[in-house]
Amino acid sequence: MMLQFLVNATTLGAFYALVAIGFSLILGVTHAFNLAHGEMLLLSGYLAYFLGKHFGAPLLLILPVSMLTMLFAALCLERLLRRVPEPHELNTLVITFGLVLLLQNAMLMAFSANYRIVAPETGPGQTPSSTLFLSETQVLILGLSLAATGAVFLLLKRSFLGKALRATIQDGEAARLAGINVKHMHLLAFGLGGLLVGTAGPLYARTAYLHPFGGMEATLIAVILTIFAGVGRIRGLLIGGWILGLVESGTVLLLGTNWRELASSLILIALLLLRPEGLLPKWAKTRP
Amino acid sequence: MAAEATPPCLELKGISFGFHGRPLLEDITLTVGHQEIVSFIGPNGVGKTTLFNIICGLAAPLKGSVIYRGVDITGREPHTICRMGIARTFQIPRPFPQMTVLENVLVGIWFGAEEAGKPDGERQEALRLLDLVGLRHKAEERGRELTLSELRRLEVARALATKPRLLLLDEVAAGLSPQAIREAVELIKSLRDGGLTLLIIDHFLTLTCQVSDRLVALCERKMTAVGKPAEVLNSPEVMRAYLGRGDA
Amino acid sequence: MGEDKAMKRVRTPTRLSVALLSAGFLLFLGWPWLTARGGIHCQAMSMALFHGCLALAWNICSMMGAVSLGHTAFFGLGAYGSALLCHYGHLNPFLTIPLGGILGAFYGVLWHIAFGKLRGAPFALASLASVEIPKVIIDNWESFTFGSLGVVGIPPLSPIRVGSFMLDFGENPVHLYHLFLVGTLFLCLLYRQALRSRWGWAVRTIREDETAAASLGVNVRRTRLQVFICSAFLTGICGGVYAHLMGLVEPALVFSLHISALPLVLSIFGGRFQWYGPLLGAVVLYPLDQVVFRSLFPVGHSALYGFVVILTLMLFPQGMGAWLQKRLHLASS
Ligand SMILES: Nc1ncnc2c1ncn2[C@@H]1O[C@H](COP(=O)(O)OP(=O)(O)OP(=O)(O)O)[C@@H](O)[C@H]1O
Ligand SMILES: [Mg+2]
Repeated sequence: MMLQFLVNATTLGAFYALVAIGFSLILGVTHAFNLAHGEMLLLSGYLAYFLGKHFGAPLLLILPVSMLTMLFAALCLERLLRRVPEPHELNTLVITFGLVLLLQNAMLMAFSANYRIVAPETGPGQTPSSTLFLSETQVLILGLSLAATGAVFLLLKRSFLGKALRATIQDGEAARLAGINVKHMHLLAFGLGGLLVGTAGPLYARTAYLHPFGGMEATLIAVILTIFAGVGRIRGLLIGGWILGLVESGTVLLLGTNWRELASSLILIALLLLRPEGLLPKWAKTRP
Repeated sequence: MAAEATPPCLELKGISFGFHGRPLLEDITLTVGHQEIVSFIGPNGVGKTTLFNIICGLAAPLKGSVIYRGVDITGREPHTICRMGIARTFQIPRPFPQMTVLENVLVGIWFGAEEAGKPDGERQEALRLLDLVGLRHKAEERGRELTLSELRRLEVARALATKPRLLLLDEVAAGLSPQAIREAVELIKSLRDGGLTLLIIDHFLTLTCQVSDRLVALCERKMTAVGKPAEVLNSPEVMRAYLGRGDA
Repeated sequence: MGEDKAMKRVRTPTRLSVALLSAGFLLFLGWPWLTARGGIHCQAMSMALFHGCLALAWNICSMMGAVSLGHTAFFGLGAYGSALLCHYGHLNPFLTIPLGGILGAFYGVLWHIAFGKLRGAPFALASLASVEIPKVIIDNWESFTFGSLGVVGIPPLSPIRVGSFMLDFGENPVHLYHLFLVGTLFLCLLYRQALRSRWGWAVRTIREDETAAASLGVNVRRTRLQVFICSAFLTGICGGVYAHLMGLVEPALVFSLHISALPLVLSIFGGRFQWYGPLLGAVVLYPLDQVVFRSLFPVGHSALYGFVVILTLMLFPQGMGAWLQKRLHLASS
C-alpha cells in the first residue's frame, strides 16, 4: 500500500516536472507568462485522443505528430507575444488569460463538455491509484517524462546552445551584449516548450479525463514548480514535482479528492509570498 | 546654548545595513544642524543612495536609529516621514509617467504637506515651483515625455512641493552643463537661505565644494572623513580611494 | 501661453461629449420601449448593465495597478452570503445583499493582509489561486452550505411599493431593467467623483509609481486596503444580486473563471483608465455576445471575450474609451 502510494506519487511528480519545464523555460528566457500552457497540454491531449480513437494510431505515431503540432502552436504564440506592449510580464499574463478563454470555449465548441480518456484501464469513477501496482501507462509516463527531462537537462548543461539559453535566462541584456541572438533564444525556448507539451499531452490523455476546462490546473502546477525551483532549473523542477506529487497524493489519501485543489492553491500562495524571487531573479533586483 | 534647547535637524546613530547578509554600511554616525548643507561623496556602489533610502523610510536599517528633530523615525513608513518634512529626489528619476508635469508637482502639494491650501493657490504654487527649476514651459507635457535632465529638475520641484524642512538631493547635477550647474548652486543656496537643511550626493566636486558646509566621505562601508570640503578632499583616505579608482 | 487653455481642456467636458452622454442616457432610459418590452433585448441590456457594475467594481483595483484574476471569490462569497442568510434567516433580500457584500469585503481585507507585498503578475497569480479557498470550503461544508448541490429556492428581489405603484423586480423585466439602470448610474457617478477626488489621485499615483507616491506622502498601504474593500464589497453585492436573480447558487456557478474574466475583459475593452470605460465595454460587448454570438454558436460563444482581450491589448492597449476620447477631442477642436 505504502509502496503503491510512493510509486504513484513518483509517476505523478515526474509528469508534473515534464509539464513544468516548458513553462519554466519560456518564462525564464522570454519573461512571458504563458497561462495558456495547460490549454496547450489539453489540446495535444485531445489530438492524441482523436488520433488514437478514430485512426487507431499507435503511441509511437501519435507522439511525433503531437510534438510537431505543438511546436507549431508554440511558435505562433511566440509571434503573438513578441509584440506585447509594456509591462511585458503582466500583459503577457492577461493576453494568455484571454487565450485561455478563447481555447477553453473553442474546445467546448469542438469537443463538447464530455469527459474523455484514452484506454481507461481502471474504469471510470476509480482513481488509478487503487488497482494495479505498476500499470503500463505508469511505466510509459515515468520513462518518457524522465527521458524528456534528461534530454532537456543535457541540452542545457552540455551543449553550446544550452549555454546561450542559460545565459539569456540569467540576464537577457548581458547575453545580447555578449553576442547571443536573443530573438533566436526566444524561438528556441518556445519551440522546446512546444515539443515538451506535445510529449506530455498524449500521456495526459492516458491518465486523466480530458475536459475543456481542465487546463488551468496544469498551468497552476507549472507555476508552482517554477516558483519552487526558480526558472530553468531542471533538477529543481523534478524534485519539486516529486514533492508536489507526494503532497497531492497525501492530501487525497488523507482528506479525499475534494481537497486536492485547495492544497495546490495554498501551496501556490505560500510560494508566491515566501519565494518572490523564484519567478524571475532579475526582477527582484529593481532598486527602490 | 540654543543647541541644547532645539535638537539638531537630523541625527544618524550607528546605522548599519546590508543586502542579503552582505554588509553595505557599518556604523554611520552623523549629526546635521539646521540650515546646514552636508554632501556625501564616495565611489559608485558604496551605499550613498541606500543611506538616503534609510533616512526616508524606504529601507530599514539593521542597527542604529535615525532621529529627526528629536523624534526617532527609524522604521516609520515613507509617507509619514515625508509629511514630517523630509523630501528626497531619486537618482533614477521616478516621475508619474501618465500625468502632466504640473500634476506631478500637484501630487506633492496635495499629499506631502499637512495643511491644505486653497484649490487655486495650489496651482499657483505648483507653477511657481516649476518656474524655480525652469520647467514652466513643460507644465502640460506628460512625465514620460521629458528628457533625463528635465526629469531631474521635476524631481526637485516635486520634492519641494511637499514643503520639506530637510531635502535629500541624489545626484541632481549629473549630466548638467556648466551653466546649469551654476544655476543649481544658486538654487541650493537660496533654498538654504529659505530655511532648508540639505543633504547632497554628487560626484560633481565643483558643485559640492561650492555649496556644502561639510563633506562626508564614504568608503568601504565606513565614513572615512568628515569635515570642511577642502580638508576632506585632501585627507589621505580620500586621496587613496579616489586615486585608487583612477588607476583601475 | 497655451497652458491655461490646455488646463481647461482636461477639466470641462466639451459640448459634444455632453450631447453624446445625454443622448446615451435617453437611449438607455427608453430602451425597454424601443425594443419589445421585457423581451430578450431588454433582458440582455439588464444583464449588460449588471456586468457593467461588476466591471466597475473590478476596475477600482485595476486603477491602482492591481490586475486581479480572482474577483469571483468576492462574487461567490457575496452570493453565498446573501443566499444563506435568506435561507436560514428569512430576511429581506435588500438587507441580505449588502451583508453578502460585507462578507466579500472581509475577504478583500484578507487579500490585503496576505498579498500586501505582491504586485503585477505574482499578484494576479495569487488572486487566481485564492479563489479555490472559499470554493473548496463551501463545496465540502455540506451541512451548512449544501455542498456542490448548491442552495436552491432563493427568493427573487422583493417588490417595492412606491405610492400606489408596485415595482416588482422578480416578475417584471422592465422594472428590473430600470432598477439596474438606476444602480449603474449611481455607481458610475460615485466612481467618477471618487476618481476625481484626492483619493482617486492617490490611487492613480500608486498605479504609476508606488515608491514615488510613498515618498511624496501618499499612504500606500491604507489606500490599497480601501481599494480592496471597495472593490470586494461592490463585487460581493453583485454576487448577492446574482443569487436572487438566478434563484440558486452552486460553487461551480458563482466561483468560476468566467466571472473573474468577464469584468477584466469588459474593462480592458472599454478602457481601464476612463471612468466610463468598464460600462462602455459592458454595454457594447455583452449584448454582442448574448444576442449575436450566442445565436451563432450556442456552445462556446464566450470565446469572443478571449478574442477581444487579445485583440484589444495588441492593437489599442488603452481600450476603446481612450480611442473614443481622442476622436471626440479631435472632433470638438
Ligand atoms: N535592492 C537591492 N538588492 C541588492 N543589492 C542592492 C540593492 N540595491 C542596491 N544594491 C547594491 O548595494 C550597493 C549600494 O548601492 P547604492 O545605490 O546605495 O550605491 P551608491 O553609493 O548610490 O552608488 P552610485 O554612485 O552608483 O549611485 C550597490 O552595490 C548595489 O548593487
Ligand atoms: Mg546612488
